[in-house]
Amino acid sequence: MQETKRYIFLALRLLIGGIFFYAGLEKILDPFAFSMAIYNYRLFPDLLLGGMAATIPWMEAMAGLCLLSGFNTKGAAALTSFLLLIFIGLIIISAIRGLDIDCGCFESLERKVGLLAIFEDTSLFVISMCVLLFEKNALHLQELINKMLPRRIDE
Amino acid sequence: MIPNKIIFSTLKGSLAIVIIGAILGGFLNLGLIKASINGELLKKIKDKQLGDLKNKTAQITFVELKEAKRLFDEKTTIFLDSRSAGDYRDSHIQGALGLPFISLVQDRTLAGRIIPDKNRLYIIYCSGEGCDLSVELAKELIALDYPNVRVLGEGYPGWAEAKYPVEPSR
Repeated sequence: MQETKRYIFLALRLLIGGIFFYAGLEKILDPFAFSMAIYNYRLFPDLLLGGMAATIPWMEAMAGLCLLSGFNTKGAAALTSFLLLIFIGLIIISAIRGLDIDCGCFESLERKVGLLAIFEDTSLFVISMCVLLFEKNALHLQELINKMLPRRIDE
Repeated sequence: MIPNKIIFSTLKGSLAIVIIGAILGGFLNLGLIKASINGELLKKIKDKQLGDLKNKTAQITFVELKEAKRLFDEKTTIFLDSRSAGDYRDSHIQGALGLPFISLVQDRTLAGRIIPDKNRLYIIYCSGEGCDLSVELAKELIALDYPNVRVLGEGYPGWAEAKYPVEPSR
């Protein structure tokens, strides 16, 4: 049972890490497109658009990489939880304001602000919080690889 | 209760990612940050969004901001605000009629009641380059046999920025 739990938390950590790494990488490759997404929210001063588009994707990707690799997972999970909380707040505000815009969550996926985006980000927030609060016994990649290697040799 | 030591080390870990991310991202995108500070980025974003909007809707005719103002001064053109009723109440182009796209979708007879004359020239606007409500409303009106429909791509923000007349006046 304990072992199953560890695999579940590993899967959750890899899921949230993979999503953040992918989302960040896409934006790193096209920061201009991300600056447009930020602009569409009409909530931030124009002067900050470039700085936000330049730095947030790197934070996302680095947090994702930490979660994937099992390094600084608590810090990364706290950051992804915090970022998701901000994203959820932004989407709710924009939906209330009646803005018909893309949420800018992923460059390659068109997802409008609205209930679906709120539901998805809330689900990710719950996963991220699970990793933050309960992950201490989860398997790390290196441990998993070490466990699997002898079995392969036996086979 | 989570011990303070764990909270502190978690926050330290988060802060490290934020700082390293900010340094890396800032250093590798200095041009973008400079463009943002001197206003070039905003202009580029608006141009790109307006271009995308025009490309997306080849069958819709757009009107330039200055041309829209000339038509406004001639007082022969009717401006239509396709944003929500709340946005319209907050502020709109002087003399514009409120015809929210959502309301027209719910009740297609609304067009006939608000703009009975199908031969007038109508200029539709919404919240600017990133908004396509004006284009959607234009499509609906064309489908309802209004032949003279144009879209002001810059929308209300572009009109207000150019200090053209709005009401309530600001």
